Amino acid sequence: MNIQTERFGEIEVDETKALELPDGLPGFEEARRFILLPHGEYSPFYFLQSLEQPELAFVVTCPRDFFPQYQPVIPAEELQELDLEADKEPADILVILTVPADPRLMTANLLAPLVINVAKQRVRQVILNGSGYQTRHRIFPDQPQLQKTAVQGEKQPTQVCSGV
Amino acid sequence: MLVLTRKANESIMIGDEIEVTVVEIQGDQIRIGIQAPRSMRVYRREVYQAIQEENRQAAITLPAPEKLGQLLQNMVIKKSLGKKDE
Repeated sequence: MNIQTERFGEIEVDETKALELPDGLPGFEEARRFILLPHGEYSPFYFLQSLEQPELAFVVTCPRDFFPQYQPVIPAEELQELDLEADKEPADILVILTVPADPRLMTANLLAPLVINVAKQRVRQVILNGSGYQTRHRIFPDQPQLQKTAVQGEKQPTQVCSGV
Repeated sequence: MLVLTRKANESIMIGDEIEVTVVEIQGDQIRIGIQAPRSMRVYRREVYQAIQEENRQAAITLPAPEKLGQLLQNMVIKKSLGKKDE
């Protein structure tokens, strides 16, 4: 189907790939259906575009592309809400990025990741109470170190953390 | 806002399924117990607000795809320039 978006104009999306957010997102509780759009073949970024509100979209990424040590512990109740089982493989996770005017300063919200049941296309934003994570973790190292430490991860065609 | 006064070990019911109990009072801190359906998430207010605010910021400041693309290009160039021989 075709949808209107503010950032990308009118685009064609595969409605069968829509992600359902039963409770929306904190701050956007009514936004229940989104689609994930890749930014580009060699980009770690994706756009989470609302199917209901053309102006609503987020930049998201797989957190382990930038934070290999990130080990969110998702509470069992949250996994249950998503029809995921706690003992099985770790759930698929994306994090929302906040991008200021200087995009090098962009941050990831590791305190409240998006937890995804890929098979059922269901998503919840889970707040990791007491985890010690923040809403803003710098994605890129500070400017002076940029040339030495550079970007984490290889620049290869990326799948979203196991193929959403 | 409904304001009720409770002592330690007293409770409040919200609807049929939510019970809020004053577990313990220590000085100016109160330990509050909450029983609610599992599907109902319970947060300290400032935490939930922080997430709401961060989501709003993220949505408002969404960059154009080209801007992200430029950023990635710069990162890749800098990485290859700074690359050490291994």
